[in-house]
Amino acid sequence: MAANLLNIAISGLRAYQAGISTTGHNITNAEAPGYSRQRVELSTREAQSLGGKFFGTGIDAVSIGRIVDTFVNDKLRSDISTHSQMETYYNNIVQVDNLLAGESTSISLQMQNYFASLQVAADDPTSLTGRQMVLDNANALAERFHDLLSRQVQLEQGANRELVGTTGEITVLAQGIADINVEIVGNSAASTGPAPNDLLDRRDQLIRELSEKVELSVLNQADGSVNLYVGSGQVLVIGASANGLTVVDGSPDPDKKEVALTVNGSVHRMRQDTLGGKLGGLVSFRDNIVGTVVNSLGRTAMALADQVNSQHQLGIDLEGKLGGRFFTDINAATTATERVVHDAANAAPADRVMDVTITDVSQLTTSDYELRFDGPTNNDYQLLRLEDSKVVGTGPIAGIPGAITADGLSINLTSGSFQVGDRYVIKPTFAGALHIAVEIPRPHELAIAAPVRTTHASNNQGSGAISQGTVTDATTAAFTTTPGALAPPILIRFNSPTSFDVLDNTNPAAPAAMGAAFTGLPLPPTVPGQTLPASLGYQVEIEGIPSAGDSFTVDYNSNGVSDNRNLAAISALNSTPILENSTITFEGSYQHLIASVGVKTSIADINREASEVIMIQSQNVRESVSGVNLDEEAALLIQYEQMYQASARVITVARSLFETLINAV
Amino acid sequence: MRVSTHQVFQRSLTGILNAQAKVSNTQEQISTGKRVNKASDDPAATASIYLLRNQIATTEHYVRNSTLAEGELQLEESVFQSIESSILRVRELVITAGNGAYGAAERKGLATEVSQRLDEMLNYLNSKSANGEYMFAGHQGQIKPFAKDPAGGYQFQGDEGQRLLQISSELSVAVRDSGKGIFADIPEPENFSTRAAVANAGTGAISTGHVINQEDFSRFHPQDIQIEFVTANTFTVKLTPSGTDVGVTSGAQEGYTIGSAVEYVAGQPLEFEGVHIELSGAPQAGDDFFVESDPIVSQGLLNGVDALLTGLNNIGDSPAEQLELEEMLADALVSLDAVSESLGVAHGQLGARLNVIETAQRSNEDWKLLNEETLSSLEDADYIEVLSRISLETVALQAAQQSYARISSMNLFQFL
Repeated sequence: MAANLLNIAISGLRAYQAGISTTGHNITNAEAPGYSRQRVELSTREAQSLGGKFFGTGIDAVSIGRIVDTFVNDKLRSDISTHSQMETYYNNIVQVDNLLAGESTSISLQMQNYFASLQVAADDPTSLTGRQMVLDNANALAERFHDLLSRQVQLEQGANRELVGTTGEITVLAQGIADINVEIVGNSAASTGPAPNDLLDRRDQLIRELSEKVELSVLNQADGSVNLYVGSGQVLVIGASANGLTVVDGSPDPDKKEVALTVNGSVHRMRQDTLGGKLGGLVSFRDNIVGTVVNSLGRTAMALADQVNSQHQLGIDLEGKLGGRFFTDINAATTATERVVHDAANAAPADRVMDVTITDVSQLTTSDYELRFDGPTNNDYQLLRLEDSKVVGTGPIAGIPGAITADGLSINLTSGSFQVGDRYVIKPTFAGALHIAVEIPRPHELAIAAPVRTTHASNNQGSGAISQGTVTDATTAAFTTTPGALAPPILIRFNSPTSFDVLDNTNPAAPAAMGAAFTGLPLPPTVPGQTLPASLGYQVEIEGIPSAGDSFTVDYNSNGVSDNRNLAAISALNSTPILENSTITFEGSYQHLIASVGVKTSIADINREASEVIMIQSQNVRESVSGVNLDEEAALLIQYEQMYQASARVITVARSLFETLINAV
Repeated sequence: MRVSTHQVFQRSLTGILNAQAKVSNTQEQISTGKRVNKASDDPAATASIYLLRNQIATTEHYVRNSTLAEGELQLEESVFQSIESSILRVRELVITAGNGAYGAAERKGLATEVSQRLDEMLNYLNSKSANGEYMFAGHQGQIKPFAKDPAGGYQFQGDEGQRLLQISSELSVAVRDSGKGIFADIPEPENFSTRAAVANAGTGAISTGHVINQEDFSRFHPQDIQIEFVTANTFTVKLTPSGTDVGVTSGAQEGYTIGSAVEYVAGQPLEFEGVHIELSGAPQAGDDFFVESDPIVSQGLLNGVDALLTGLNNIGDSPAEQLELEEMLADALVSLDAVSESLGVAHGQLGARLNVIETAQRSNEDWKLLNEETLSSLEDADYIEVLSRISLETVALQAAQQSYARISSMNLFQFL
């Protein structure tokens, strides 16, 4: 009886000692990351049957359990992935947002400075200082484009470097989880008894760390191990073996790095939009934001260069020469060639010679394109606009040499052959902001004046008045035959108030007829604005009522140093809607970019905050289930201590019972 | 709900961090004075902010151009005024020269001043603007617009170009005027020539004639007149080709009525429509004589004054020369008046442009102010709102910190 009582007391001491030590473990691990509180499972010992009665035999600490809710853990893991993706995306896009709108980095301000300097030069065309200011501001504008582009490139490279680093960490973590799998399976198999609580916590913690970097699906196995899958179901960890992630060149565009899975050294491509986590955030920032910003900047730079060049070439400089290009040619041979990226996987022979020229900047989009030859015959192509996945051109190519045109582009196929399966990426605008540069070497060569001027004869009798004239095309024979002179200068002579002849005025004493197309022209002209035959390359307007015999002359604007007509026309480009089918101005397109990045950033910020709130809620739920509460532990500690003392007291009672019996004998 | 100790501390800490972030954000708005510091702060306002900034910058160009244009035009106006006073002085000299008491010697004296005035006018016509360009040369601002050519006349060497400056989005204003229209293309006083028909049978002749009343003749110009002998002794004076009769004011016999034939007296002066001619010899019936308006030719201010100068220097005192002098002086007056008139028109246009600039300037400034106000309401922080917000946020931060201190000291272990 006494012995039994002693045994009962000892079972109590053992059980509550286990309780005290578990509580101690909980208290010391209260702040350990990923720790789940543990509890001693107490169970009453089986009763002994003696003489038809059941006597209790004490208590046992059956096991030490980990208090976790698998559902809560799964939810938390997926919330961590989402939040990590949102946060990575936001942290990157907010840099772009700051750059685009920042006073020292924005294109907008320098664009205004450039057009302001044109106004200054137009006010005083003979001033070399004013002209120099135009060149300086144009250079500064080009620099701004380069600078902003290089920052985008840095962001892109940064994202790519981070992809490489993150995939490396993922590979290490995956290996760690596989190792723990082995340990857990080994432990469980050896004892088939209690689960290794702290090992499970460590694995859960590693999986959470991993899910920060990439989105995972987790499958618990019967033997205690877990299998991890990434992307659209690719195996990352299965039991004891782990695969790795790596970064490879994209296809067809090798510049676009992709995350891929390596299984025993062989590379398996993954769908990039299924990555999630930090990887997903980096990839979507790099592809959706940097790509668009770079292309949009490029497009603005190219449109500016193209339009300013065209107008500048319609003017004459301080020395009376026709204007050259103001900015670098947007269709220079090397630039046009590098717009085509050949897929490395294209079938041999790699003999295609192609380039892309811009035919109409107003139709340019900010998208890249994919040209694919999907068959059935070798020359059947499809041109896909990647931004909205729309097919913008299709059919067999007309022949080589030939051209495919769409969206203001001309894809020129010079020579070589195509085969079914060939793919090319067309990037019309990606280098636009890189190549913009001022080509005018000296301020004298700024073409401020227009090349023609008009005069009315002093003895005109009628009220006819001639406009100053505008140039529509400076590449006609009228301008190119003799540099610095109009070939020929013309005399407009009225036969009646409504009809006139255009005569060759090379010898003013004897103006010569120029043929039927120049004789008996009507006033007002049949096509409004087309007073003179279009072949001349310049136009004038005649208002009022000329008398028969009245004449006007159009001549080269030699010495026309005070004229600012051409610069006024360049200056007007600032407020002319050109891009997007002549609906927005250069600056408008940049502001459009700022606003669209701003909206995306603000949405990203909202998403980040929302995902953070959700993640914190999940963390709270997990903490509430598995977290250690010190007050609770303190109470338990006191409780177990008292139980321990009580059990010890039972031993004293057992001893006194025993002594009573001995003394009685 | 069960709360873990970690959670208790974490929550309090998060509360403090969030409150700090809010305070820092508001602090940035206070220090920059701007509510929108990057596009994502308010994407909807950002688009408008950029548009407004652009419009303000553009309006500033217009304001600047208006000021420049005003300066250029005022300079031109002062040159116009100087030229006008020179013309007035020469006009006085012409009238003085017409004084019957003056002889060739006195006129030479007057010529000295005319010569000086001519130089003065040439100087004004070749005025330069503030940046060193010739004001009246059109586009060829570095070429002297008025110069004497070796043949003796003054030639305009510029062109008709006009420089325009943009002073509002839809408005450009000319800041220069070519000297050609104002000073060079001044028509010479209208004149006529006479001829006898080739088929005339008689020996009648018509004198070259001269204009005795420029005003009447200018009104009549550019019509032509045919004098037809009905008989050897009578003729009609009719417009050609309409055939309307012209009233003869001198040389006609008493009782002459328009439309009736005029009696011919050889050598008798004949005057009509400001024209003075003489018919002589013995014409026969059917003979025709013509008085035809000359096409208008340009003479220009300088050539006109130069002609006056030559006349004053060279015309002597003989009776024939006296007649020549009168016509020369009359021509000089007409020519000076024509320049005055074209200068007046140009001056008027210039004044109109100055008015346009002033109006545009005012509207530009209003527009700029309006844009600046809108911009400010979009991007500037409202200090009263922001300051009250930051005091609220600092209170919240303080509360979070104090509650952290309080909570961290609440622990059952302290009682064990």
